[in-house]
Amino acid sequence: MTDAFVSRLARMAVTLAIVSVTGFLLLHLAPGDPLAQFALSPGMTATQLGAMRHQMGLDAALPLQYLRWLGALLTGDWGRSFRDHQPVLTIILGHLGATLELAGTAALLAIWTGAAAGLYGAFRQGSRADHLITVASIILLSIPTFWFGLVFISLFSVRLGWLPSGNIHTVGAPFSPADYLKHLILPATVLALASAATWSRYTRNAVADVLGQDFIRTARAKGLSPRKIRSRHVLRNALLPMITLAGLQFPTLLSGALVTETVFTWPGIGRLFLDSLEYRDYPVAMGILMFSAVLATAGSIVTDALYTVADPRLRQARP
Amino acid sequence: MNTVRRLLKIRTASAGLVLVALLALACVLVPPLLPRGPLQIDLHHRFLPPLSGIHPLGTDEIGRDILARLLAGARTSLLIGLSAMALSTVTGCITGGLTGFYGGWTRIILMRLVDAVLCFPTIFLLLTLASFGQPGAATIIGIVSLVAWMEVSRVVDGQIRALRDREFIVAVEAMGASATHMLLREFLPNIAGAIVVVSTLNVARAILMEAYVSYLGNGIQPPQPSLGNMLNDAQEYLRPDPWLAILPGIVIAIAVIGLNFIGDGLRTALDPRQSNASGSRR
Amino acid sequence: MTKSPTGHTAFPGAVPGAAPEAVPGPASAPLLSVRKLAVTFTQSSGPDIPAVEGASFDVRPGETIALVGESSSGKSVTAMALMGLLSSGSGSGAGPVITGQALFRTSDENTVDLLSLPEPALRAIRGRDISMVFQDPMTSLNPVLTIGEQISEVLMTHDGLSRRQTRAPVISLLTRVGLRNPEDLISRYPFQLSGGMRQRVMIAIALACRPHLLIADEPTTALDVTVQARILTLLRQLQAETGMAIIFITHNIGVVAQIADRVVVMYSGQIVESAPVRDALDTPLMPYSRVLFRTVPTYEAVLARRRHLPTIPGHVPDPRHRPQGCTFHPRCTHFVHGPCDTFRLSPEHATPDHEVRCARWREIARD
Repeated sequence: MTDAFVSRLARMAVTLAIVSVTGFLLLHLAPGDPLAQFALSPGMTATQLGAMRHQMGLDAALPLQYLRWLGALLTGDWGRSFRDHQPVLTIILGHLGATLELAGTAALLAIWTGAAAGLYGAFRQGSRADHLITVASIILLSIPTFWFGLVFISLFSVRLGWLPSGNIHTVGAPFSPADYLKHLILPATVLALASAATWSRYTRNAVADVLGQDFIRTARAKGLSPRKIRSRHVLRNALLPMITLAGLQFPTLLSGALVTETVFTWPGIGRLFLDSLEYRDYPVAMGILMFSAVLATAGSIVTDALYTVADPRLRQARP
Repeated sequence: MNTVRRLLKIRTASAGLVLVALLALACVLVPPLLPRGPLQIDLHHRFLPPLSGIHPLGTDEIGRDILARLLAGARTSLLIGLSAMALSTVTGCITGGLTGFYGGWTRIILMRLVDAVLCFPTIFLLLTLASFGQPGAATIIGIVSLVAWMEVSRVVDGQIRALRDREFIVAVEAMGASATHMLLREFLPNIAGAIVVVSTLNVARAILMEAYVSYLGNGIQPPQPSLGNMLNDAQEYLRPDPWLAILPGIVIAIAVIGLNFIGDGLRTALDPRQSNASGSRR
Repeated sequence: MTKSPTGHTAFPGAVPGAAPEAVPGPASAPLLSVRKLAVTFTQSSGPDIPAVEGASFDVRPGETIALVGESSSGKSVTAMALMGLLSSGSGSGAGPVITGQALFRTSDENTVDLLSLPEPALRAIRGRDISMVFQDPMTSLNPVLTIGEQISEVLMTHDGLSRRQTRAPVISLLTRVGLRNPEDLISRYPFQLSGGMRQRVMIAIALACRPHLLIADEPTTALDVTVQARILTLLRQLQAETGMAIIFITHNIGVVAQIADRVVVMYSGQIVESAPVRDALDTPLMPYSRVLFRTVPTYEAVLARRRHLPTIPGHVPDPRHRPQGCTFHPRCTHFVHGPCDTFRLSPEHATPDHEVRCARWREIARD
């Protein structure tokens, strides 16, 4: 492993440190009390509450709380939920699968349709189809995701009754792949819409950029067929910026997932995060923030690695 | 001005200008003409469909006039968008100007911070921030600007750094111009275009963010109407009245599409490559 | 770049007229005959831009034509039009309007009009019968493909070879363009090569299918002086070996003297003078060419001192608003009211071999 890789890891560590401090400060300084839910239960005395507070470590100074949390995290202990005392990691992993299935499906849908539309537009620049795709992309990006969710539910679930309006599978029924897929279609499509628009715009610009390069003219001067030029010269080069986008899309997809999960009552990380904010369940909220930050930075490292594979200039520059 | 003329020539951009202008005018001119205010409840006329009697767009679950509520919500959205844009543009220009001009540690720290913040999924960040302070328009303006200034800052920083090496700037610097003079007289006119583009797109983004935050229940609180919280209400009544969900979405779409078209058009109109496209071929 | 003490003596083939013996004399039928070529860029808004107007010239087998002129004089557009590279090549996206005729003798002895040939037929000619070398070798090679891949694809396209079969010819091509360690080079990427090496690779690509015509669009401009000289030598030498004709686009008068048999001077989209190299440099008739060659009075002096075009007061006119009459008249020292600014002029023959587009060339010739 090279210096570049080490410095990248160091930067990742700095980013994660900043994320953890900001996240911790924000959550703990925000008004609201994690014990509020218990304060209302009958027979709860002030002394008991105080004892609970002490037991949770919430009476310590904020820097000390942070260091305790960080120390535990570094030994692999993500803490326990304030609400039900379950280990945070267990809770997160329990919800992660649903989110990854949703976001993964949506990402695949988005990349395929978006990149296809972008390629089509770039190869027919200035045509009616190109304009149409560009305008459609801007429109998709201008409408909040959840609105599509509501409209789709009202159309496909309420009016037509084709697809379920929420949940990951029919309640009470035994698990079946067909049932699961039926539940996945609407949320995945909704989540994919905005992302597909981003992909289409980005792909179009990347490909248009490559098409304007001198070496494309060289390829044409060689007498290569347009098809050959596209597959060999254009796509290989346009792939580089597209890899970058794949890395950048990660946080965006998570944001979208949070909203989509709310619309479709999908039991994933996003819903969990909303709930944990509601109940001031700091350990869970922090856990999710850190988890997504780690995934995002890891995503950017994988992106860089892929980039190195795809671009000989970087590949050979390594000692 | 040349830029304006080029902008108007772009069909989508002029369409955007028309959309936004119409919406803004409607927000100001139409409400006084409506028989009912946005908060007036009428339990005898609930869930009226559009075009029924005195309610041009119908009524909601407790008989409030939907058009009145939509326009009130749109006004709030536009105000939030513009204020958040103003706040984030000023902050972004100052920070980006400083880091771009002086570089060094300020720049490294700031850019690290920006990187870290961009690591958070935007909605997570907005929701966390929203738990500070009373939910309301002012809070939303604050949190949206907190997220949006970084982009402005990045653009300004990048543009200034690109300009710094250009000959005319080097010349002005060699003549001993002060930093303030340089920033205001030399840099600002040259990067104004880029700032205008980002700012326009930021108005659109702020309106979208308001919708998300209010939809998730942490933004403008009922009974005050907002395009986001109207959609939240609507979700419960998709069966009796899908209009409740469709209409606020259309208003959001009009505002945001319009602004995005304008922003995109501005980017094209201000692109120096466009202006001398007149065949500088050999 | 004003002077270079190196390299200029090493051009055995640089004397005009001393073309390789295999090549028929100037009287033979032209390889390429361009008649009244006009290229007009249309804009959705704004006036049309006539980039080239009524250009006519011949290229004989084995001959080197130097196309000279300032930036935006239309010389590159002329070359690109002949190659059919001005349209986007991907179906839609209208290119410029091209009119005129460019008759070309293909390697299978058919005469075709390059300007009206459908794209697939033109594709079979590009890279096989006519090749092109571009100005900037830094950007003209695909950064993510190896040198070997970029040369072999020409052979695979035109000669129907398989990837494996191209290895030997690719290596021999690399050797012919003077690159060492060709076996090693084929797996290298462009960024690992110097500018001069990349231009040699570009030349290898152009020569792969033994073209009859090579269009070199300022192939040495982006290179430094010593490398320029070597690339010129290489081109001369390869021309001697293959007998191909070259259209050499340049604004470097020194290069013109070294390499050209004929000079075609372009100004503001028109050919203003066309003559054998010695006549053009020694007795230019059009005032614009005279300014071009003025500071370098004799052919030998030019050879001795490579020079760029001298600067002329004034600007090349905006192609959308060209002056009435002779387009050069606002900058011309021989300008007289009437003949120079009333009608567009047609080229006239000063000698059978020397064409000029000027209202006053007879008076100028007497000076």
